[in-house]
Amino acid sequence: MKNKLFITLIFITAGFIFVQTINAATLTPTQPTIKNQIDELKTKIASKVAELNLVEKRGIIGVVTASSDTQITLSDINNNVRIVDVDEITKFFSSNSKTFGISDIKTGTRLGILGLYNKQSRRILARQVNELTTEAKIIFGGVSVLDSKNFEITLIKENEQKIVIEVADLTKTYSYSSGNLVKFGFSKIKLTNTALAIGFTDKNDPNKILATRLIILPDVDLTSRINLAPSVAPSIPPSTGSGMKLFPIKR
Amino acid sequence: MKQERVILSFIMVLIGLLVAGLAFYFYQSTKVVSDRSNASIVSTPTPTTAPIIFLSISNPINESVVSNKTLTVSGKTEPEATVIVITESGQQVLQPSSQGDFSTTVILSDDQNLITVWALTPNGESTSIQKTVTYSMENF
Repeated sequence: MKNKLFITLIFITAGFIFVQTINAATLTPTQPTIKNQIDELKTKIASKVAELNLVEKRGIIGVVTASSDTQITLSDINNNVRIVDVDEITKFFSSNSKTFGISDIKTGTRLGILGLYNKQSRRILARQVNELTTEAKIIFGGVSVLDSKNFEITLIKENEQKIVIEVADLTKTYSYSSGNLVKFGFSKIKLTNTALAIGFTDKNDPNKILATRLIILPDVDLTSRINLAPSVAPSIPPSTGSGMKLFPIKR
Repeated sequence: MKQERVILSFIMVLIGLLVAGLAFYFYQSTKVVSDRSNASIVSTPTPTTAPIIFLSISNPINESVVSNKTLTVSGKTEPEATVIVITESGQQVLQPSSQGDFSTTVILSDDQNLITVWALTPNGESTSIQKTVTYSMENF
């Protein structure tokens, strides 16, 4: 019995020693110096690659929502909030002023930023800040009103918003039909034509566009979501028997 | 006899530890991380008003900086659509191929350029995509 126990004990001890030896053999490199050097080099290369990939050149356009001496917050073309860092080597340009700088940037200013975008922080370190002119508006809709006297058309959009398009002398009017883009006259525009107008908002009327370009698209039908039928709104208030006019209560 | 019992107990404890250790090792090595842990991260998509017609722009990449004034604008839309590429200085009207592919070149202005691509189907459905491309020779 004693012998059996002794043999069992020897086997267990031998087993432990065997396991420890295998572990030690697998953990200890055969050529420690070369392998370590390779690993170190790999780590260095990986960190350098990561560093290079972390930043990239980018250019964005946005409207200023806030600004300080070192930072500009913009709303970009997709209405995303973008944070732009400004430092001492950032250059500022404006066609309106030669001394344009960070102090001239106000809320609502449209800027073009060129700089280094950090993918981790999602911020741009600006290298160049350009003041841009107002963004051109692009309106697509159906012609609902033709005002030949004032050279204006009214486009109705899918959301039923009506935009007056002023067609001036500088407006380039085209028609695109059967694969050809040709110059077009105002007199040839018809009601229910679809059109794409490009221009700038009138300072006095936000619902009016001063068109620089107008493309009439006779081959494109009006979408069913655009309703050109005049809205039935009672212009004359209903009369009561006593002759008093009843006006709706305006709140 | 008493000494034998002590040794036997010691051996049994060792065997027990060994068996427990092996069982734990095998459990750890065969454990599979279930996808259920990731399931909580996936948010339910909120319904949005998706454009009725398909339009994608493969080139240019939004916010890219280029050193060539000539830029290729390419993408894919409905084959029967009319595509209008609008830049600050001009516009081009295109008809896509039978697969819906379209491509054209535009000339960039200095600094930031806003390129708008509209796709219009014959039944009046429309969608548009805007891209910002910056022309710059600056090295920084």
